[in-house]
Amino acid sequence: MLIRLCTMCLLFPAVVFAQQSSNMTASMPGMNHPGYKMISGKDHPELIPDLTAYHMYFMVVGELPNPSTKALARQKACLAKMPGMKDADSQAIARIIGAYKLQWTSMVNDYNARVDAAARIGGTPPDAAVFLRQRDQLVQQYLCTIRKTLSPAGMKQFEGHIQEQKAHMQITAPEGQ
Amino acid sequence: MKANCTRLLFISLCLPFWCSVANAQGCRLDFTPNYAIYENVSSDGTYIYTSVLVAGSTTGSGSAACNPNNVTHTPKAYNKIGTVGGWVTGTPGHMNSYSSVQNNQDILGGPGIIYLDASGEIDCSMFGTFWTGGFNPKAIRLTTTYWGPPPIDSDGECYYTTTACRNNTTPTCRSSKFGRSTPQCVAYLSELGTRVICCDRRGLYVCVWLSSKGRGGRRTVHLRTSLRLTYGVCICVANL
Repeated sequence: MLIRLCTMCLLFPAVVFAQQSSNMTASMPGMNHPGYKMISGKDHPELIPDLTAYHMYFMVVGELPNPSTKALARQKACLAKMPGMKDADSQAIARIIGAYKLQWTSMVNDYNARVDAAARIGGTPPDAAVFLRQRDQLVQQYLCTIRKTLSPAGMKQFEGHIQEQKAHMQITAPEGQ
Repeated sequence: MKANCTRLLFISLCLPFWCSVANAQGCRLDFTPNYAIYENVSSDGTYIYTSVLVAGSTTGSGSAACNPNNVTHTPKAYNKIGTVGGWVTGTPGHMNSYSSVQNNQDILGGPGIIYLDASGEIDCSMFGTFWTGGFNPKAIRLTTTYWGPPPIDSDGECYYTTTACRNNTTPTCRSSKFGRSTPQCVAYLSELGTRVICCDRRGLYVCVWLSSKGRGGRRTVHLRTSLRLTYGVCICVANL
């Protein structure tokens, strides 16, 4: 009897803990956020900002310098999804978004270093909203380069492809949405 | 034995209270997650490539009691295609840092159905998983696409502008390795001026040119094998 009681007592907290773990996202003591919503690009592509979509595409398809053979094959397969895209246009996209990825990675490293520095001295962290605006400016800048480099038909295809890719994206809805 | 059980009973009853005490130190984090997830599927006709990117940041702060400077966030991306892949964990960073992780996988494609599952999450060192995103699993297969009707005639050549998949699935690309003006018609017949163009698909693509300007009014047939033609391979996707 006593052994059964001990077993039950041991199991009870374990069960309670397991239940708490599965509900952590919904409610965690001490953590407070307004409850985020997700926007599915499949259902609402119009709610995925173009610059966010370009950024995501640039990061996934872009390659940093000295990519592996496998990485290049992947990139080529991604770019081949655009119908009738001329080789010159595809190569230009690969080159430009690779440069974007390199610059963005550098900006992220710099931003995170400033976050860590602020944390060390107990200071105010850098403004994330400003950082995201800088990201959007960077995307705009590289989009201009792409627009100047690609043929008009290639650019049209590229823009159409990014809109299609929104169906494979999800973002956290901005507050208030 | 009785003493051991009594000790166990005491420990098991007290353990949950210790956890509660740890959570009731006045530690409080107020923050807003701002993350995104993107899945990309592509193929070169041999391999299927899938990528999952999870990226973003959190804004907010914590009370002094929980020392938010010790709180880290870790991005995780789940990318499983068939039997390949799984979770990839990014580098933990300060809770206010910008974090991202990309999970690339590839698998040899084939006519059989392969299942793709993609999701992501952000884990907090103090509170566990607080953000998740993901997509419905997909059944994908590497298959030869065909050009969807209607064909387009242009200067004596016929071509299609869209690809299609059989069995009501959707191609991930609108065209793949087909040349734009390469005949891809299946049992397509068209008259253009004096020429009749017939394109058929039997392994190699053969273009048959019929001319009514032959000697003595005889119609002569010219066969032309298109060497430019390769084949169309695309991934067909059906949402489960």
